[in-house]
Amino acid sequence: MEKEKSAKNKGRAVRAYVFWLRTLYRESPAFVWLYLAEIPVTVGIFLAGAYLPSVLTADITAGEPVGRIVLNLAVLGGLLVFLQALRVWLHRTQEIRDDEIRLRHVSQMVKEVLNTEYKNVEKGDFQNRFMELTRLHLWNGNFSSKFMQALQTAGTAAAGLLLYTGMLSGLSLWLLAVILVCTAANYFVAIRCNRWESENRHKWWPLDLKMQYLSRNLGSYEVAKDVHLYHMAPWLKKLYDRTLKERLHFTFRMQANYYVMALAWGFTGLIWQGAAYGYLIWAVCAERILPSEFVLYIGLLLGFAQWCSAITRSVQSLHEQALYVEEHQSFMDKLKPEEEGDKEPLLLKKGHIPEICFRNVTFQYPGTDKPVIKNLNLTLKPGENLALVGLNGAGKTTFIKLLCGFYDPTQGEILIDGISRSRYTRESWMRCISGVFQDMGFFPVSLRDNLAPEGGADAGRMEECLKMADLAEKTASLPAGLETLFGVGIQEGAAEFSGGEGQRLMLARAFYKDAPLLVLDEPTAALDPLAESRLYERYRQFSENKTTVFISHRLASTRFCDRILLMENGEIAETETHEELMRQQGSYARMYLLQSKYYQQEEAGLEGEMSL
Amino acid sequence: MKKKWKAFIRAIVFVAKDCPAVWPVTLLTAALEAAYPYINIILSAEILTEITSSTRDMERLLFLAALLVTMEFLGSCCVQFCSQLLNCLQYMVMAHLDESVVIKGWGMDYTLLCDPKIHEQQNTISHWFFWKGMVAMITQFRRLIGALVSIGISVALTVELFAARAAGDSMGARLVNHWTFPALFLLFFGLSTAYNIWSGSRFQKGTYQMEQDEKAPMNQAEELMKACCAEYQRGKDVRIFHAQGMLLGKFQELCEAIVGSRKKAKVSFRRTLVLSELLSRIFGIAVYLFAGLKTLYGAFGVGSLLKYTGMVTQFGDGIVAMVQTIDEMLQNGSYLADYFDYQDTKNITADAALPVAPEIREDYEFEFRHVTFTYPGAAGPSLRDISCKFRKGEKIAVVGRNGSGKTTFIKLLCRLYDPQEGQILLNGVDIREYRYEEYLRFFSTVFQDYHIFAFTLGENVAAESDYSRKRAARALENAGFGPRLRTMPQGLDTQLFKNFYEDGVELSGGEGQKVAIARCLYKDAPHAVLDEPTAALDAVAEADIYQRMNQFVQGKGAIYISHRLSSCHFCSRILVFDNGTLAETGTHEELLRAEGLYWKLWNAQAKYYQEERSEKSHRRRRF
Repeated sequence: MEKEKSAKNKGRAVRAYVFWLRTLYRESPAFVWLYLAEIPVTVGIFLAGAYLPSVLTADITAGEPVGRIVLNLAVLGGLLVFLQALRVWLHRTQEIRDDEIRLRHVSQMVKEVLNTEYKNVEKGDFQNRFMELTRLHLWNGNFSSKFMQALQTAGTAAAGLLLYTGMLSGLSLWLLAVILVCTAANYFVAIRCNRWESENRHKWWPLDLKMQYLSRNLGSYEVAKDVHLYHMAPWLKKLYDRTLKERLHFTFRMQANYYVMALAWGFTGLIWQGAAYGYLIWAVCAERILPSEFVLYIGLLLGFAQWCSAITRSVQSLHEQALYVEEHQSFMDKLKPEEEGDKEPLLLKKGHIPEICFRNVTFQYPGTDKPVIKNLNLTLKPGENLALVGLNGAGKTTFIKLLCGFYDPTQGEILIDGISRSRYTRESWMRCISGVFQDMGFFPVSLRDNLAPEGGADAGRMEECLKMADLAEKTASLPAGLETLFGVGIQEGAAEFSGGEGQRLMLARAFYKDAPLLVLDEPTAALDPLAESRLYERYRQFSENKTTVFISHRLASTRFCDRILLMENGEIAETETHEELMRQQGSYARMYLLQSKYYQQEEAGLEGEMSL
Repeated sequence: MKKKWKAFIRAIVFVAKDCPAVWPVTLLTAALEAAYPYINIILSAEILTEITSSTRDMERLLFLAALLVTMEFLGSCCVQFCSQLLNCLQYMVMAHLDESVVIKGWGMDYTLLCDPKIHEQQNTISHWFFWKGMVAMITQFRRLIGALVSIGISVALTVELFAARAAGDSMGARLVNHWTFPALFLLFFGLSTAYNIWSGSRFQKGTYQMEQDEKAPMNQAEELMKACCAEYQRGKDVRIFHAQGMLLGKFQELCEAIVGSRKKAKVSFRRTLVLSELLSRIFGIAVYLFAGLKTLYGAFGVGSLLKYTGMVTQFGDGIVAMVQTIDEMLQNGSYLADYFDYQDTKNITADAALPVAPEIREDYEFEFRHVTFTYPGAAGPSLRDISCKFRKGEKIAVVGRNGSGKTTFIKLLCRLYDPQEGQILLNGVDIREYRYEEYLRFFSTVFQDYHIFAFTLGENVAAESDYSRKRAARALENAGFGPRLRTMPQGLDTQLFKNFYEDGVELSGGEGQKVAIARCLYKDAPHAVLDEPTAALDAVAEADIYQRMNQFVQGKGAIYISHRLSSCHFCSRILVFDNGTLAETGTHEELLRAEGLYWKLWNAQAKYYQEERSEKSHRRRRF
C-alpha cells in the first residue's frame, strides 16, 4: 500500500518535471540549451583537470624533452582554461536569462489572476498562496533556474559517472563497488535526515510565519496606533521570544541533522579513500601501474566519488523542485477560466436598459454547507432605483456578487430581458455594470489610469464626473493633476487619500463608466453628512437612465429609491416603498424608527431605554 | 568615514554582547577551514615523493595514506562541527537583530514611524538581514581570517618554491635559476591579482548601483502585484472596470524596466568576470609550467611539484579573497551605519518624567490651549488655534466634514503627535511632561483604522497572553459579539485569521469592529476615545452598541467621532470642527438654536428622517 503510494508519487513527480521542462523549452529554447550546454563543459573540465598533473608527472619522470613538456602543458592547459572561461560565460548568460524568465512567469501569474473569474480568487488561502508562489519565483526560490540547475547537475553527474566508470573499469571493479556502497549509505542517511525535515516542516513553518508577522506586519506604522495605545510592546516581545525559542529548538535540531549527514559523508570517505589509496599504493609497488597513473587514478577516483554524491544530491533536489512545480501547476489550474466558446456576447443597444430577473435563486459559497441566498425571486425593472437594506450578514453583498456575475447561482437562474445570463459571456455582462464596492478598489497607478482603465480618457467628462463626486477641487490642487500616483501605504511621490476621498474617487469612476446598471455598496460610509446629503440630492441626476441598487446602513438612503428590499437571512423579508413598509410596521419599520429616533426633534429630550 | 568605523566597532561589540560565543567560534571555524586543504596538499605530495623515490617503502606509503584519510576525516568532523555551530549562532543573531528592529519600532514615536525616511530605513535593514549588515559581517570575518591563515601557511612554502635552485649547469637550469625568471613570474602574479581585485570591486560597485537602480521599479511592481492580485477584494473593481489590460501592461512595463537595467549591468559583469577567470586560470597553468621546469631541472621532486602548484593557487586565492572581503566590509559599513542610525533615533517622548499620579484618575480635566498643528511635510496646518476643555464624566462628540481635523484632534490628545504651537494640559500640566507610557494608559481607543491581529480572540481583546477570561468574555458580550462568540467552538482561544493556521477564523468588517470595541472595554481606562466605531455596523447593532457604550462610560470621560449625528444625543457637549478650527461648541439644543454649521450638518442628515415626523404624529393621532 505504502509502496504503491510512493510509486504513484514518483510518477507524478516525473510528470511534473517533464511538464515544466516542456514549458520552459516552449518559452525559451535558448534558456534550456544554455543549461544543457554546461554538461559537456563541466565533464571536460573534470577530465582535463585530472589529466593535467598526471601528464606533467609522466612527462617529467619519463624525461621527455622540454619542448614536448611545454607543448603538452600548453595544449591541455589551454583546453582547461578555455573550458573554464566558457563555463563562467555560460553561468553569467544563464543569469541574464533567469531574470527574463522569472519575471515572465510572474507576469504570467499576474495575467491569469487578473483574467480568471472572481470566484477563483476570493478564497481563504488564495492570498497566502499567491504571495508564496511569487516569492518562490522571484526571490529566495528563483525556482526555474534551480530547476534547470538540478537537471544539469543530474545530467553532468550521469555523464561523468558513465565516462569515469569506463575509464576506471581497467582498475578494480571492487574499488568502484566500495564507492557505490558508500554512496548508497550516504544517500540513506540523507534520506532519513530529509524525511525528518519534511515530516516536521509543518511544525516550524507557522513559527516562521508568526515571527515574520510580528516583525513585518506589526512593525508597520499602520498598526502602531493600536500597539502604542494598548501598550502591546512587552506582550509582543514576549510572543516573539517564545516563538523564537521554539524555533531555535528546530534550528539546532536541523543543524544537528546536517552534521550527521556531514559525519556520514566524512566516515564513508574515510573508508573508500582508505581502500583507494591502499589499493593504488599496492598496485604501484607491485609495478602494475606507473606513478603518473597513480596520480591520474587518484584524481579519477575523487571525481567518481564526486559524481556519485552529485547524483544523489540532484535526485533530492529534483524531488524538491517537482513539489514546487506541482504547487505552481495546481495554483494555475485553479485559475483556468471557464470555457466560453458556446456563449455569445451580450450586446445592448445604446440607451437600452435591460430588465433583470432573479428566478428562484439559491446560492451557497463553494465549500460551505449553508446557503447564503435562499430561493430569491426579484425583478429589477428598467430604470428602477432599488435600496437594499438588512442587518450585517443578511446576504446583501452576496446578492451584489451574484448580480454582477462574480458568482453564478447554485440553483435557479438570472434572466436578462428574459434570457438566461448563462448564455452570455461574463465579460460582456460586466460591461453593462458600473459600481462602488465596499473595499478600497483603486490601484497604485495614476489617477487617470484608475478612472479610465481602458484608456481613451475623455478629459471633459472626467472633469464632470469628478465634480459630481465633489473631488474636482482636490484633484486640481494636486501638482501633477490626474497623473498623480494613487498612493498605497507610504510611497514616494504618491498622493494619499482619506477614507472619504477614496470613496468619492470610486464614485467618480463609477459615474465615468456610465453603464446601464449601477451598483453602490455602502458608498457613503466614510462621507460626512453634507457630502452624503449632496450625493443623495444628485442621486436622481446620475441615476437617470439607469437601474440602480443602493446598499446602505443609513436608512435615509431609502428615501430617494423607488423600492426597498429588506433582506433577512438570505431571503427577501419585505419589498415595497418606504411608505408602505412603514405602514406595515415590520422589521424595516422597526429598524428605521430605531435609527431615526434621535433625529426627531421633539423627542430629543426623551432619551430612554430602547426596546429591541 | 569615521561614522563607518564607529558603526563597525559598535557592531562587533553588539554581536559579542548578543551572543558571546560568536567571535571565538568564528575564529576557530575560519582557522580550521583554511588549514583543512593543506592536509591533502602536504600529505599527498609526501606520498607522491615516496612513490617516485628510488627507495620506495610500501609500509611508509601505507602509513602516509592512513594518516591522510584519518586526518581528513577528523578535520572534516571539526570543520563541519564549527561551521554548523556558527550557522546556528548566526541564525540566532539574525533573529535577535530582526527583533531589535521591530522592538525599536514598537516603542518609536508615531511621528517618527510615519516619516518615509524611517520607513525606508526599516525596509532596507530588514531586507538585507542576511546578506548585508551584522550577519554578513560575521561571514566576512570568517572569510577574512580564513584568507589570512591561508596566506600565512602558503607564503612560507611559496618562498621555498622560489628559493629551490636547480642543480647542474645546463641552459635550462641556468634559466630557471636566473633572477628574471621569478621576477617575471611575480610580475604576472601581481598583474593577475591586481586585475582580480579591480574587477571584484567593480563588480561590487556595479551590483550596488544595480540594486539602487531597480529599487524604485521593483517596489512599484511589488505594490502593484500586491494591490491587483493578492488583495483579491480589488478583483471586483478589476473586472467591472475592465482594468486587466491596463494593470498587466503597467506590470510588464515595470518588469521590462527591471530586466533591462539588470541586463545592462550583467552583460558588463559577464565581460569582466570571464576575463578575470581567463587571467587567473592562465596564471594557474603558468605556475604549473614554472614548477614543472624547476622539477625537470632537479630543483625538487615530482611530489613537491604538486605541493607547490597547490600552494601557489591557495596563495593567490587567499590574496584575492582578502582584498575582496576587505572591500565588502567597507561597503557593508554603510549598512551597519544605517542600522545604528535607526536604532539611535531618539524618541521625543522619552524626556517626559512626571508620573501620572493615581489621584488624577479620580478627577481630571483636559485642556487644549491655542493648539496649532501641521503634519510634517504638509502645506498648511490641519488644526488652527484650538482651545477647549473637557473633564471626567463628560461625553464629548466631535463632528465636522471630511478633512476638518477631527481625527487629528484625537491623535494630538493621545499624543501620537505633538502640536507645534500651544499646549495640551492635563490638570494644568502639559502632557509632554508626563511619562509617555503612563499617559497612554489613560485612554481606551477604537480608531477608524483599528487592527485586529492574527492571534487568538481572547489575546486580541486583552492585548496580553495571560488575561482574565471572565473579563474578556464580558467585554465581548458588551460589545455585542456574544452571539458570534457562542458559535465558536474554541471560544476565546479561537485563532483569528488564516495567517498561520488553516483553521483560523475570518472576521467580517462588522465583527472586527465589535472585537475592537471589546478591546476598548477590556482596557477600562479612565477616558474612552472612539473614532467612527460603528461605521460598518447595521442600524440595530449600532443602536445596541451606543446604548452599551453609554453604560460603560458612565462616570468616565469619552470622546466620540461619528458621521452619524444621532450619536451626539448621548453626549453632553459637541465640538464642531470646520477646516481645522473649532467652529462651534455647545449642547445639541444650543447648537441647533445657533443655526450654524452643526445645524447644517444635522439637517442634512435629519431631513431624510424627519419628513416622517408629520406622518408619524399623524399616525399617532390616528391610533
